[in-house]
Amino acid sequence: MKRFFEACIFGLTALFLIVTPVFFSACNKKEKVDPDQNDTLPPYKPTYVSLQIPEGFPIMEIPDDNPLTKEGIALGKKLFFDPILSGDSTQSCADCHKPEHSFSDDRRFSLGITGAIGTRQAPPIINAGWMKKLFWDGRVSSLEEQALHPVENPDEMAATWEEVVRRLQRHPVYPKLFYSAFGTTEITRYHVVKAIAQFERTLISGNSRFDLALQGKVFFTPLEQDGYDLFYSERGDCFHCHSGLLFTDNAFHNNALDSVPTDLGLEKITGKRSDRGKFKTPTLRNIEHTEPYMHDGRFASLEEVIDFYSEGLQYSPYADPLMKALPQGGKHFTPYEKKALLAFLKTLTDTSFLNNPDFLPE
Amino acid sequence: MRWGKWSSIGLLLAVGVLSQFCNNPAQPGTLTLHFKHTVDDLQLHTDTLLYRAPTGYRYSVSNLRYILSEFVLYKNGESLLYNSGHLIDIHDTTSLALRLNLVPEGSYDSISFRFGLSADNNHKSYLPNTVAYQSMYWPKQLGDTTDPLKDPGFHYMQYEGMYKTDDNALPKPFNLHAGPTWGNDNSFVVTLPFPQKMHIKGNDWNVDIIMDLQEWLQNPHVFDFEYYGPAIMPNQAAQEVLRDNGSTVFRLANLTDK
Repeated sequence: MKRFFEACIFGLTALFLIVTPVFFSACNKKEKVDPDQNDTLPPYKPTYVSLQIPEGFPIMEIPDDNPLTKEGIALGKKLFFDPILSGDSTQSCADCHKPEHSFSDDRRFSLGITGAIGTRQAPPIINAGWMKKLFWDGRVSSLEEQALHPVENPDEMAATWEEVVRRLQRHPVYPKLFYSAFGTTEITRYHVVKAIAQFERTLISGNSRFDLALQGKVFFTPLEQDGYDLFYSERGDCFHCHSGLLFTDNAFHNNALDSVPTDLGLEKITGKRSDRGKFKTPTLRNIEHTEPYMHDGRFASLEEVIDFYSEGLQYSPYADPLMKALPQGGKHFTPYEKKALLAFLKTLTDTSFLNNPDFLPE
Repeated sequence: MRWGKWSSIGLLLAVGVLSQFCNNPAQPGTLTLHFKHTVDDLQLHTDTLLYRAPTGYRYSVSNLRYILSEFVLYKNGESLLYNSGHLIDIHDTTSLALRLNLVPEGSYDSISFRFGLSADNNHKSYLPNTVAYQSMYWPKQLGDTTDPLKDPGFHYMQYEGMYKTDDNALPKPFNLHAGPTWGNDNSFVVTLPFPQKMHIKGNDWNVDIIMDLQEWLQNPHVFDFEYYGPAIMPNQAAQEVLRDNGSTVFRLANLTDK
């Protein structure tokens, strides 16, 4: 009996000695080897992220092929602030989409790396995850597709994707970050734009004084309240285009800026004459910090914008029917109405968005 | 023995027939509604001053969005409710069809739906929370002002275009925005008989629901763009004209079994 027991112990020990190395060997086989850096990488285990959507905001649709992960968002943020994406490595996305200006440009037109001047104002990137059409003329249909364009635009970052990908691939850090985000060290332009889009989807603003007033946590001043009521009345009639909690209908309108529109806007994309001078409705959130205004940055201040809607409408056959005061040249607001509208628009400022460390460079 | 053989065959037949009955449950089908738009029975072409209103003005149509809800199918006095809303936008082709699934087997003779949303259903949680639906929100400043906490809900319709009073005039905007002005329920139910019986038995049917935009401007009342102006949301009298005219706006066509 004793001999039998000893034999069992011996057998189990032998089995343990044989199995253990095989087991660890099998575990090690799960680790991927980076062929370029002759280094080992941990298993690909992205951390999936659910966004905190402000109360009442619409459902945000996330593409099935680009789920949000902690690693993807972090990579996207690093890329967004890194000049590595431009031809001479001097300009990042954030140079024209500045966080302190709600990710827009305080210049009327942005400058490219060659000194070329753009023709349209850099739009703010705020609540961009809800946008189905990007650029002022809506020529692309996703954040991923949008991010492909500025890199190769000769008037903007003036790079080639081949060169950008080569630089990222040789970089001491990026291949590991791409591996953590997408499970591969073989970087493509599509990984780059997916990461940037993930970061952009996190740029959510829904904590303004307006939001707090809706929740009953603060009260408007009498002037703000009058501006609020005017905004949502047929007298002010701002709410049809700047609708819902995003303050945009995500649609395109000719808002009677010019009697003869020189920038064709949506018409250039659709080829339809009736789309002449139509541009995407921008959000009004953080509007206080996204000057200058309109697709061409023609207005330096919100006061000028209000004056335009009050007295400056230009007649054209392409003007949107929602420009109801077109025959009168504008709404002809009283000085008090103008002040009230301005006060209300400033309630849409969200300082927690502007100062959010997650949205600022490291 | 001979009796036994025939009785076995009879038994098998009886079981077969019985099992046929037992294994042949009701077969539901589908009905797809296709939303189409005409002006005076002509196919709608946007952004051209093609059409003539009963007032004599030429007019064009730029945008048209509207919500239908409470779709009901009728058969032999029974009714089947599809209690949901649907936003139709002439510029969004995906919105121009709505499929009603799992329509129970039977012969249906008519359909009804509500233009807009009833007072009970006109609140934000009744419809999907999307940017498109949010852009149809009706502001509380134009809703029931006696109850500031009441959710004013949605526009029923945004029908927009330009018109000119004579050939030499510059076009002006019109905006037929229908909805719950000052909290009034201006929605209405439209009932349309099918041109023939719709026999559902596991099959897929299609029907066109045609809105004739000219009918909003006539029958029984003439809607004068000049009289009502470009902003009718606060104007209950204008809303009532649209509600009355709405009764002849819709018709059915092309009921087909695919």
